[in-house]
Amino acid sequence: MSADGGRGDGDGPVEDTDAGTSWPDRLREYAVSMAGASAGERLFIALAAIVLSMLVGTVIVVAGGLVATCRTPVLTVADLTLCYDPVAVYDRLFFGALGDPLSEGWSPLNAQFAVTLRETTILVFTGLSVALAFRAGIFNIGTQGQLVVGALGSALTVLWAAPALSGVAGTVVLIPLGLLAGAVGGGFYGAIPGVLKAYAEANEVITTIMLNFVAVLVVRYLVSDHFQDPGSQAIQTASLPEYARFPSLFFDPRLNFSLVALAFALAVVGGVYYLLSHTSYGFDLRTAGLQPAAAEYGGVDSARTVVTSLTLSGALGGVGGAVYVLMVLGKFQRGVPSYGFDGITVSILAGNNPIGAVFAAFLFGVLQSGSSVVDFATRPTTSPPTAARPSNATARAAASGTVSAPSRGGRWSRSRRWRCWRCWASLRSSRRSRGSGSCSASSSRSRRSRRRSGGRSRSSSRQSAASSPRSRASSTSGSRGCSSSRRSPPSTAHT
Amino acid sequence: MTGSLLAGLLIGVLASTVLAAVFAVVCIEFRADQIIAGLAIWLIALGLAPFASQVVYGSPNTDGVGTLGTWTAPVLADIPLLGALFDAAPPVYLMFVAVIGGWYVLNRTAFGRWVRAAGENPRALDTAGVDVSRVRYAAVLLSGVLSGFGGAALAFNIGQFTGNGATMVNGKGFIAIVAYLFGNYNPVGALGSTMLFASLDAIQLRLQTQQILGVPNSLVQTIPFVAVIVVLALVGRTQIPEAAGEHYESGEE
Repeated sequence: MSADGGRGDGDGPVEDTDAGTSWPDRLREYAVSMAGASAGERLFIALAAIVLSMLVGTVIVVAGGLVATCRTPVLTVADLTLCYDPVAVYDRLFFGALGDPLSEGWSPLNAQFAVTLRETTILVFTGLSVALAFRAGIFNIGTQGQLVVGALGSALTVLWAAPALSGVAGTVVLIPLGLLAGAVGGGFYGAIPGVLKAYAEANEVITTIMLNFVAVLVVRYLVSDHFQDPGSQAIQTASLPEYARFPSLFFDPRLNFSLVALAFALAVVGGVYYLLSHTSYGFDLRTAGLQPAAAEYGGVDSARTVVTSLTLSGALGGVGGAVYVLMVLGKFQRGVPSYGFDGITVSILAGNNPIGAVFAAFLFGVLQSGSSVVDFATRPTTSPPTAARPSNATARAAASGTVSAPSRGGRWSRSRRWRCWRCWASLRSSRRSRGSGSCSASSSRSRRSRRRSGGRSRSSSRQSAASSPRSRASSTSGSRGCSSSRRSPPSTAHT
Repeated sequence: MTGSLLAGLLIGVLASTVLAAVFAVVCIEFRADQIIAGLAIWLIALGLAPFASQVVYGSPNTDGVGTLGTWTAPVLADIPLLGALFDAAPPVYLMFVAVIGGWYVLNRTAFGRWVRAAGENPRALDTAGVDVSRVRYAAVLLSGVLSGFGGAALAFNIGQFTGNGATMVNGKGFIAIVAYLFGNYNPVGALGSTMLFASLDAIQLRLQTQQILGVPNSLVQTIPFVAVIVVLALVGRTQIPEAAGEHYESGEE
């Protein structure tokens, strides 16, 4: 409720003071109070929301820990056993995402921090995309679809142009070209609901959500039927040449994170901020968002504003997709993670402010990356780190394209993260005692996970490309899946 | 219907009603933006359901729970053409009850008048001495009850909850919004338009399995979604209740 400060709705119960106050007066009062309190109050609201959501997350972890059964609970009170330790979850979530900054020998170039920044970079774009539309009074839920279309457009364009160029010249030309293609693709896909809203009065919330579904299906058709990489089982395009990808400045190239991309993201933030705050178009856009009738009266062509703002918003989402392809994946693959949906949360948390979106995106980058650390901490590590099973990809794919578990409250993460949670407690304690922590797997469970990996490893992964030793090690555990649910007693069939 | 399925149905309805209650409190009590709050509820549920399944079953998909089967009305089922209506799963009968009941309540009872007034002209309702917030609470909760039935029917139709990807619901709630818009805010109209969308979905499934037109499956699957967009573009201007989406504070003015 507090999130849409820009739209002029009051938060909470508003006492109406003078009888007969007309809405422009109230609007002005509200605007003045928001402007006065602005930075501090909004920051407070955002922080309060985060703390509150962590509390909710704790409740969920505890509730989940009480429901699940495990061999070595963290806490036993009478008959109740708590399987998950919320404090440790948050410890791993936040410190893990930064690569344990309190430990010795910490360097900002560590692998996990690179993952955090990588997620942040893309979330900045999707957050900006949603925020820009929000400021124009439009709910662009379609950033996900625009990102998918932009990602495919970018990959195809770069693949098309790559043979003509090589080396440094290739990098200099192909990356801007790829970004442009992403922007055009996403912008085009954003323009569709814009036109429908402006000229047919079709509600953009519904059309954009429908277009998300359409994008996924059409892209799947395009890739599998026309641009399929013949050498791959997965539905994906051929890989881009190395020189068509973002150069990773200080970080290890294998981490798929590029400071150049991050810098570009920050430059775009500056650009959007300037556009919104210091140009007449931005003024029109914000007025149209705050009070369409007044904007129209003031000479703003509202239909045009709707179309252009949704196009711009879509272009930002498309650039996010291009960055995903050019920095993270190096090709287009079916099953793009839900950056677009995360962008909605980023934008709302940031109060639809472009600058705030950077911080919100970083928070979500931390959550995203930290959740994989939490995941890792829940997995057994006793098997050799050479297993070929792409479990990270697999599991990631289980939720690709959507959101699932509301882990750290208010936050939605991918379902797979929860797969092994229940083992975690037992793992921790057994590691402490004997060092042979391993989660038992029932035959049915592992069969299921095997089937799942067979069926789904084709789709995507945000992580598989990150060939950090960590994720490789964690991938070994895919085959054993964790069990300890009531339905599969741990005694059956250890794998 | 066995006892455990009945219990499942009721708990499903309860869960959905609780979510609706959260939405109601946030929107009516705290005057949150209804679209944002609605999206938040959607996202919470989208995560919570697979998570709960993960905790209990170790996978986003639950174990099989059995289906309801069909109830066949002895003689009526033999009527040609219409007979299929009397040889259906219990939720189908429930649907007809809900449509008729919904129409009756909305158009023929005092409560129905209040609900419509709360949407069209809350101030008039307030003047008449009825608490607008309470009517709106009741309406949102009832909406939660009905969608809970929908979800339970979906789960018992397949006999499992599937939480992968977009979950088994796969955007049906949004199609419902459009269907209701298309049905012109009338339960009977909604029945007609949902049947339209449902038949599109059925055609889509048919086309997929039979490969009749040689159109790739991925594209065939877009039919219902595209239909929603087209319908929405065509009937963009519907008779939306005057005060839909607006907050009402008793004592304004």
